[in-house]
Amino acid sequence: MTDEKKLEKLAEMLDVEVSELSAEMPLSDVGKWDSLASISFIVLLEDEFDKQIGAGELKRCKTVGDLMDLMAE
Amino acid sequence: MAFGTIRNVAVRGIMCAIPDNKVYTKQYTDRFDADELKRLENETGVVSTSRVLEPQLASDLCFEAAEALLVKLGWERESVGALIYISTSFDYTEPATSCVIQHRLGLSVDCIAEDISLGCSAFIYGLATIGSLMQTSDVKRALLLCGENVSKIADPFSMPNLLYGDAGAAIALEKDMTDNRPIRYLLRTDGHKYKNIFARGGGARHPHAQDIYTQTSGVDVFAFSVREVPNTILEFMNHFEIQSGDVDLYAFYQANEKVIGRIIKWCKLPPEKVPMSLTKFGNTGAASVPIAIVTSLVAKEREKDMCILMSGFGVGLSWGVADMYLSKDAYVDLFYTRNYYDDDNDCTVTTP
Repeated sequence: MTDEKKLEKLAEMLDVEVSELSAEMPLSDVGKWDSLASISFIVLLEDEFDKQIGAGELKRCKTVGDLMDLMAE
Repeated sequence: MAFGTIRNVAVRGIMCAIPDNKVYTKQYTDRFDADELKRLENETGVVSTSRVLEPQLASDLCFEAAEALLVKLGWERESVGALIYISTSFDYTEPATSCVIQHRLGLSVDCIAEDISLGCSAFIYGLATIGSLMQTSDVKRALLLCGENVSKIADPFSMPNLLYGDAGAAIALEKDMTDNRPIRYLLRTDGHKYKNIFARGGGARHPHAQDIYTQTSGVDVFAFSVREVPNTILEFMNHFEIQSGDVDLYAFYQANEKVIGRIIKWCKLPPEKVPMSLTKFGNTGAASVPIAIVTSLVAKEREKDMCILMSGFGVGLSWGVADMYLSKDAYVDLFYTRNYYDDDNDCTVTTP
């Protein structure tokens, strides 16, 4: 999956415009990145990437790009 | 490994009491943004909950449920040999809440009464404990009470806590030497994660701390729930050689729609056999599994005895899986109540 597509998926999940996200952006600057969004991200990885991650891996993510790295197929 | 099998103990009835005070997730606009509340509802599936009235406690709901069930079954009070109250919501530091309920129900001094402090996994642990007790004693009839008033002990200004509802359930069990269908269970605990769902203050270690409200690490608990629980359910089914077609109903702890959805997916369960009572009642903690059972069976004619597979998981972290048979004439019902206990006057009072 291309980076553009991954950003689209994240934007859709967070209910924001894709133009509001970039790989370099710290997650602390993404207003809608909270525990509900984290849970949605775990579900997204399971459903669309057939991948299971733990809470520890998610906590190590600091930027939008870190999330995109986890979205590797 | 804690697999277990209980024989010759039958479930005669399950009664749930709900506080007569319905609140909608979207109505908390006094402290949360309306859009965020809508998002919480969409993400979790919880549209409304019922919460205890000001003087009401979980023990009041359990008492009402037990009283109604005893009357319905026509059980003499002296015939009840054990009562276990399992919850994270207790009336007093001491004595055990079960002792107070024993008194209120007018049970005999020969009736064992004890509390167990567990929440989400309560029904599974309670069933294993009370069934084992019955099997190794001359107790012929017993009451298992699972209740919660989480709305009083969870931080009211933390939005995820809006998902909690209050409820009480009473389960009547009877020794039956003609019924050889077992109750089977698998229990687990990961105390290393005890801080994942944690109320630091108020107990003996930090009696004067201000942080008395339960705090939940939502992401950690979600990750645990969607990993460990499906694996444990599959292990249970493999161990006891249960096929998914053998089971008539899957009653799971009602955490939120996503968690239950994950379990359905990973265990490859038929969704139509997995009730979601959380939409209407929220997450009722210890009472959650009995409510899931009752809401899917109440007011329906049951043509045959049902095999019910259940799982509860959460605070502890503690989790378990069990299965049991519910005969077609076992009584199940649910009702709303405004009653509470006035301990100064030793009487039940109805809130106006």
